[in-house]
This record gives sequence, C-alpha cells and structure tokens, in this order.
Amino acid sequence: MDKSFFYFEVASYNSLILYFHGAKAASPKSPAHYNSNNSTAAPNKINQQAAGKVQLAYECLQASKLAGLTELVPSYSSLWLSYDALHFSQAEIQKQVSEILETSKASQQRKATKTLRIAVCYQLGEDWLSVCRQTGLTQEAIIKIHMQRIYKVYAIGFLPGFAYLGILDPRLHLKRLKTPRKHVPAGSVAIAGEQTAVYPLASPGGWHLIGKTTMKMFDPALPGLCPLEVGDSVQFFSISKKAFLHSISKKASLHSTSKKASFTI
Amino acid sequence: MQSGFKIIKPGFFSLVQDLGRTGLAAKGLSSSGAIDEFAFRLTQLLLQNAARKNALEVALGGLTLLATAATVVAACGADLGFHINGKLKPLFRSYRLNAGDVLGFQGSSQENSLAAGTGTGNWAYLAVPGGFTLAQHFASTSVHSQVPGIGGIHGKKLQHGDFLPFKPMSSASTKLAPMQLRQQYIPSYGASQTRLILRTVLGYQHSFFTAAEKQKFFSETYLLSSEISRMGYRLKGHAMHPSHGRHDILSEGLSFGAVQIPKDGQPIVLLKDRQTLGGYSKIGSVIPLDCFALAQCCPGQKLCFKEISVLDAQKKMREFYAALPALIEPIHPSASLSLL
Repeated sequence: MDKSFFYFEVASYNSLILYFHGAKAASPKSPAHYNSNNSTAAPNKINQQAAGKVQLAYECLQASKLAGLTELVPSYSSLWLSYDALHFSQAEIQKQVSEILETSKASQQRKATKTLRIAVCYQLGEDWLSVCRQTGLTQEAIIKIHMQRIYKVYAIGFLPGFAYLGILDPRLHLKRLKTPRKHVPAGSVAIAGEQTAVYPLASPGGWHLIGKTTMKMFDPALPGLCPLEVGDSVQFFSISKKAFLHSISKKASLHSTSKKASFTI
Repeated sequence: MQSGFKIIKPGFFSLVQDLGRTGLAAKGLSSSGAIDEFAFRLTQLLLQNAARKNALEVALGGLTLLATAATVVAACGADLGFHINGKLKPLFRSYRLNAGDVLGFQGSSQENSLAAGTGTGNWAYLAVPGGFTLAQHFASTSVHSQVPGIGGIHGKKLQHGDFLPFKPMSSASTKLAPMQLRQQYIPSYGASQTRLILRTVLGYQHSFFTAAEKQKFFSETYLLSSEISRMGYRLKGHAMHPSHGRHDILSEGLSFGAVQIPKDGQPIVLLKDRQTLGGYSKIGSVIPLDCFALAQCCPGQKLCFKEISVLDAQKKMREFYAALPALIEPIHPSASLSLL
C-alpha cells in the first residue's frame, strides 16, 4: 500500500492511530475522512475504499507478529494500535508498522474471511409499524430487501460482539430513534442509517428492531469471544416463529446436557 | 475446609481485578483491570506477589469476609474503614490472619466525606499471597463492570454466599515479613485543596481545536463531577468546542486515559472499562499514572490538564514502574507487634 494512503496520529503515551483515506492526497489535517453529517442519526458513514485499506492493514499487522505490538482495533477508516512503551519507542513502532504496510499488497494471500449465516425470526421485530410507515414499504418487502445483501463487518464495538454491518439497501436507511430504548433484548436484529446489527447483550439502544435471532453474538465460552471479526461477512435468512422457539429450546437442552457433562467430570 | 474467604457481606461493589486482559479490544472488550493500578501494585508488592496476580477491588465498602484459614493480607487504596476483628487498621501494609478472623471495609465514612468534599479515595484493594485461585478468562480474572460473564466468580461482582479461595499458607508465606508503604509515599487522595495535575499527551483530533481553545484547556481549572465509574470520569468546567462544531467523528479506537469531548464540551477521561470505540472528538490522553490518581478523586476535586510530550510521558511511566519496589519497607518488629 502506498504510504500516502495512511498517516499516524498519537493516541496516547503507548498507542497510535492510523488513518486511511479514500483519496490519495489528503493531508493529516484534512477532515475529508471525518463525518460531516453532524446529526445524531447514523454517525458512521462508510467509506468502502478506506475500509478495504483498514482491513488489509489489520490483517498484515496481525500476521506480522510485530514485537511490542499489544493490541489492534480496526474501525471504519482507522486502525488503533497499542504497544509496549516500556520497551519500545514510538519511532521504532511507527517505522516498523509503516514498513509492513508499505510492502503489503491488496492482491497478496488474504486470510480466509467467513460468511456467517444468521437465522432471523422477523415476526418478532418490535418496530414494524414505524419501519413500514417510514420506509413506505410492506414488511414482506423490507424482509426481502434485508435478506438480499451480504453485509460486511466494518467495526465491532459499542458492546462486545456488536458488529456494525453494512451497507444496507438505501430504501431501508432510517434515522435512529429520537429517544433511545432503555432496554433492547439480546438477539435483537436492528437497522439504523446505512447499517444493520444484532444486539449481543441486552442494552439501551436507538436502532429500529426488525427481528430476533438465537445466534449468540457474544459468548465468553467462545475462544474468540464472538463469532465475527472485522472483515467477515453476514447474511440473514428468515425463519418462522416456531423454528425460532424450537431453536431456543434446543439450545437450552444442549446447555443443560453440557452442564451435566461437566458436572460428572 | 478449603482455605479462602467466606463472603459474609459482599459490599456494594466489590470486584476481582488484576491487570486486565489484552487482545480482545477488536471484539469490543476493553481491558478492565484495577482502576487505580498504583494502589493495586503496592498491594501486590507488600506480599511479594507478581504484579499480574489478582486482588479484590472494593468500592464504597460494606464488605465483610471470614478467613477459613491462616494467611497474610495486604490492603491499600481508599480509606473505607479497613478492619480486622472489629478493630480499625491502617492501610498500606500487610497483616497476618488466623483462621476465623473477620475483616472487611466498613465504608461508613464515605458518604460524609463525599458531602464534605474532603476525599478519602474511592477504591481499596485487598490481596493475599499468590492471589485468589479463580479460573482465568482470556488470561485474566478481572471482572468487567459493563460485560457480564467474564472473570471473577461467575463473571459478577461479589455476591452473598460467594467463596474466594486462596492457597493454604506455604512455608514461604509464613516467612513473609510484614511490610508497609514508606510513610512519605502514602497518598492523600485529594484531601488537599490544590489542583490535581493531569498530564496529557496531545493526540487524536487535537488539531480540531484552535490554539486559543487548547490554551484554555491547559490553563482552566476543572472540577470532577459526580458522574464517575470504571468506564470514565466526567469533568465540569470550560466547555471545549472543536472548530466547525466537529464533535462527531467516525467511531475509532479509544485509549486508556483518552479525553473525549462530547457535544456539551465537558471532557470525559476514559478509564479501564471504557467502550472500545467512540464517535466523539478527543484532544489527547491523560497518562496512566495520573489516571490512577484521578480514579481516587472524589466529586468536586479540582483538576487541571498539563501538556506532556510522548517521550516525557514514556519516561515518567518507566520511572514509575521502576521506582515501585523501593517504596515499601519491612515493618520494624516492635512497631509490628503493637499493630498486630
């Protein structure tokens, strides 16, 4: 990747943030990659070019096993990194990271990213009335549109396992709720702006709820904590309420047998 | 009987903490870990524990424990009325315990001191030799205040009926000399009327703020608001405004100590249980050393920001870690007799 595609900014005494532009000529002070839309709705505008570079940089730095690098956080157009500042200087880390990125090529062997298929019971969406009214579409049409695309994970945050998925069909772009809900149940499938997501845990939230899934998006028992990584893909498919309830009871019985098993050990 | 502490009263907010976990921020999980690493590390040093061992982090007190076996404990941090067998005991030192001893933090004076604005600190630490023997989640036993199911006992704050196991006294821990923090290093936790200085590395969107605005940031006095948690501490004072009103940015990774400027312009210093991504402009980050001190400040504490370069900040942090072992000393035998 050309070195004009990224620049560093200090984040703290032991962390740096790399910014990636869609355009080549942007200077460090250019606000080009920042969101000019200052409303409370849909704060994150996706820039696919920048996101692709973040993804490449994230993969290359992960694979590099660079000594002193302690943590990476990829997001829409940035890659945050922390390092062991007791043993490495900022200059050293910056130089090494730059070298890794400059020799990286978009065409090189990419880590296999996965596509996760998530079963959704759309019937259990709580906001159908307002979503239909605001989009001017029927529930059936919206479900069809929502299932049609394969979404990419642009960032994971807000809550552990909360994957920001894009890009939603423009016909479904809605501003976030004026007053966020105090309680969104875990497993809620939601849309806001040009993105869609699954709430991994019960939390407050301002997105429109259009369904529910039993897929665990956050599980301390999983080796990687959540089934998705930035760069992975997601496709939703529709299941009936009966299948949804069946899946809940199946998971419950699996859970109890695994508990029994561990008890006998 | 298994050696450990039986939880008689779990306290309001008692969490198992160590230095936290790295490597999961890309999945949305921040490090957690002791919010005041200074008091935490002292607690471990007093027991000759490795720094990565865990301790109990106690907020607001109300905790009562029963030791089912002999051990040694060290207690440091906020003055929450530390007691053993009904007698108040000084902090920042270690004590021998016998089976059947009852200890804890009353936390009674806390509300009064909050009202008076004097400040006794917020977080106290209690550790045993070798730490509590709990299962690790992703190489740590830290509980995350925002994320259930990880670390501690069942991933929660201490509950009624919990049991905190520790290793039976080894011959090594029997030989542990009682240790204390040297008198001159005992922190005062904001009892003074002077401003606590938060040394801050400029970074992130600092170029969004004009020179005049930055000059204000580094000269005005801020007060600590009552909105304080393991996620972050909100300040009150001069409202900071980025030029062209650019408060909102694309969500990006947040550092420990990052100074976030939300729409109302009042800075928030982000701490151990922060979100991993944030969509507000940030002017830079407070160095960890000063975040630890900030964590112990009570609402109303006067604060000010002071710019520090990355190089100087790294030097300060190296010096801080290197100096720790020399801060403690054995308790003189005669003194220890009178205290035990």
